[in-house]
Amino acid sequence: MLEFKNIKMTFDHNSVLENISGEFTPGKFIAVTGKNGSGKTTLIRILAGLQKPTAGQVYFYNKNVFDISVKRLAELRSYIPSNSLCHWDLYIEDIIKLGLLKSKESKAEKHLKVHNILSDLGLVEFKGREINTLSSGEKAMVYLARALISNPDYIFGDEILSNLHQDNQHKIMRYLKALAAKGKAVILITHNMDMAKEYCDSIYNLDSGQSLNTLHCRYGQFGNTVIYRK
Amino acid sequence: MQKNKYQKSIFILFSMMFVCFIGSLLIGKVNIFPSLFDSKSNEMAFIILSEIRLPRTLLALLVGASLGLSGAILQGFLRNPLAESGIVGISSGAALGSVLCISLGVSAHFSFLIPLFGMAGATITAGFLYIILKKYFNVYTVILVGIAINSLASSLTSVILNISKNPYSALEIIFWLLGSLEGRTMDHVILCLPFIIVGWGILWHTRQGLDALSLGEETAQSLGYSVKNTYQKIIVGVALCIGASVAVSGIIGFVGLVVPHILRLWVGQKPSNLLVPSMLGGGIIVLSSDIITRLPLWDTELKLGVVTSLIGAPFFIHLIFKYRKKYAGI
Amino acid sequence: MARFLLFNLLIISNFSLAKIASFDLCADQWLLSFAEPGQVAFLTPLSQDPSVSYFHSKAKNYRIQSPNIETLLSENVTVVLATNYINKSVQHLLEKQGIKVIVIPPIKNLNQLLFWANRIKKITLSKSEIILKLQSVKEDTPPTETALYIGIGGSSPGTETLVDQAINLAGFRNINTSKGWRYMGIESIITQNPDYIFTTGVGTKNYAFVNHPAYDKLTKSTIMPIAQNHTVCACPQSFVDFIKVLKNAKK
Repeated sequence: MLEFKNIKMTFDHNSVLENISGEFTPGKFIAVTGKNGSGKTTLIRILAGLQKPTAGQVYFYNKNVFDISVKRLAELRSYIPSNSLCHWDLYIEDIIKLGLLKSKESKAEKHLKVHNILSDLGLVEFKGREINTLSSGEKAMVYLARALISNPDYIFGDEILSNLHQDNQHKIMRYLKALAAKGKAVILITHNMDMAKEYCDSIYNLDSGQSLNTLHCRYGQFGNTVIYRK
Repeated sequence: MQKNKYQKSIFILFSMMFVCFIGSLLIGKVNIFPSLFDSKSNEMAFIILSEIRLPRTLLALLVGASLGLSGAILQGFLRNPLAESGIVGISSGAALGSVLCISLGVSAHFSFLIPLFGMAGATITAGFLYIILKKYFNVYTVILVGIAINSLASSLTSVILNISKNPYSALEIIFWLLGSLEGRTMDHVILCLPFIIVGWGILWHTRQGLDALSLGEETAQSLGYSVKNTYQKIIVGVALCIGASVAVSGIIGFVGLVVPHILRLWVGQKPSNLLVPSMLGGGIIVLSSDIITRLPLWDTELKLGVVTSLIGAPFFIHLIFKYRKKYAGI
Repeated sequence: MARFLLFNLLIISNFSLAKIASFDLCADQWLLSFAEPGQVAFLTPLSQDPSVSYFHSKAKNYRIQSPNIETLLSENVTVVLATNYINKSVQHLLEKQGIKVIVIPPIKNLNQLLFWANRIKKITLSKSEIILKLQSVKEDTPPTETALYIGIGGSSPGTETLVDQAINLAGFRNINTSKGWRYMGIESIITQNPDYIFTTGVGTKNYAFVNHPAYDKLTKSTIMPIAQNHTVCACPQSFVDFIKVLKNAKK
């Protein structure tokens, strides 16, 4: 279980997040929405242990995220940043294998895992191809495969649907929903409300409209954060 | 399929290096072939081989491999194909130290003072870089601080050249800066070898971090590779192997920039796959350039750094035009 | 005839009153050989540098000034002595201001050295006997031993150089037989194995160069450091003394 308490973040005296608390449980597909600048990315970066909050704590299974070893953390969660890209023209197997960099498995095991995830996502036909030969939708699938290969409990994605064709968006959302059903927690930042409503279990709105400080509830309150629930 | 390509390229590069190695022992101002099999004069041929040609051959390989490796590492780290060891300012720092030693005139009494001063220069530069980047770290700062330190060290070198009263010590400094392996001995190899090996070891440790960085800093961080930590290792590793290389050979340009480029077209772009080929490739280029300086065709001693740049620059321009679309995409 | 003599006298007296300035290190050496401190407006700062100036201690009795157009004009200099390092445009500028510029070309042999020694002696009205010494320098014995001189930057003199002539006059056969200065490299030197290797002094890179371990193992050459200020400039005194040093090395 992922718990976060009183997360506060300020950049150069500008408060971005103020006293945000909540918890994510495995098996849920959660969307985080909000206007530009509302602190969505900052929040999930903090939750993923990539950034230290100004105040507050994040716990994975009752252990402070900053006390977890980098290796363990890499197994526990993966993170797909917005505008994922690959600076070099790598083979897609190599890219996906990057998700297993910290793992001590043998080459054959890693190879098998790559093969499995490729067939899971229907990407087997891209084996042996370089990333720049793929379309942006196909690339997004490859980056998703990279995040999933380590079989993490928590998957954080930052706007991974943007710039994708509708069909691809649906494909990815279906896959993520299936993952959540298998007991993973998927936390996705998205602007696409329709997709979120269709696939997600809950939607969190971090709105900066009136104030940056609180999580607003639009459709009723659950705990003090959840705003929409199917 | 890719695996085979990698192993094949290593094998070919290694064979090329071996050919250069043998060539370097056999080619020089003096033709030793006749005396090699003549019992009367083969002692001389043997001493020329072991005392003159072997040390500079080994140094050329060590220096070339260090330049190639640091180039590949820095290009991988900065994800910028224009990076090379010069960009972090460490080679200029090493050069500054050595030039200072020459201009003070203390080098004459103990010839190892020049490399020792060079290593001191590299250490001070790296320390400076390390402290600054520990406080203010991001990749742009890395590049800008490196460039600034580089030009600061070069301008201090110019100041020393400028104020040197004696035109002959200025000449000696300029010749030293052009890079050369002439007259180096086994003692030079022994002096720089430990630093270079340790430097290689540290740089080798960053290879996974470099691969992770191909997906950007955030992804690398989420995979458990701290960008800052990787860079600190790179600074220490480059300071050790490039500092020691520049200290014994002077500045040898263009190798660190060109070698990873050429090899990327051949072994693919994966940063960790480029390291060993770049070491071999750097060794090959520096060694073959050193052989060119020794050909009995010229009356003067051609300087090594001049030859590497002279070969490297036009080749680089050729590459840019040939693959300009590919580069534009990066 | 009388008129001609008078004219000559005028020129000469004009020179003796002249304030002569030196434009570079080698011109310094010529003035230090022939001119009294009172005749000299100034020498260049390098004249006092022991590593390059043969007469560095004598130069302490002379005024020192950086040679540039402004100082030359403000000091009322009438003659500037230079070697061919002088920039042509500077020379023209000086001549336009009525300053006589004497440019000594590169000196490649004893005859040229004698010619210029006579000329500078005349200009400075010097009583120096160095020319007699120069004339008395003779090859004493046919050369039996071989030698190589390694100069600044690692180059060695070959034929048509003054240093080569000094080596021959001192009774050695120079192993570098090519024309002009040339870089030999360790390998050619140890294979030709000269009896003597003369190098610039202990304080230079060459000294480290000839201490390469291959020399110890292979050659029986006697390695003799000679202060490089002997050969930086061609001037009669350093030439005579250089031959003397080379000859002494034989003993």
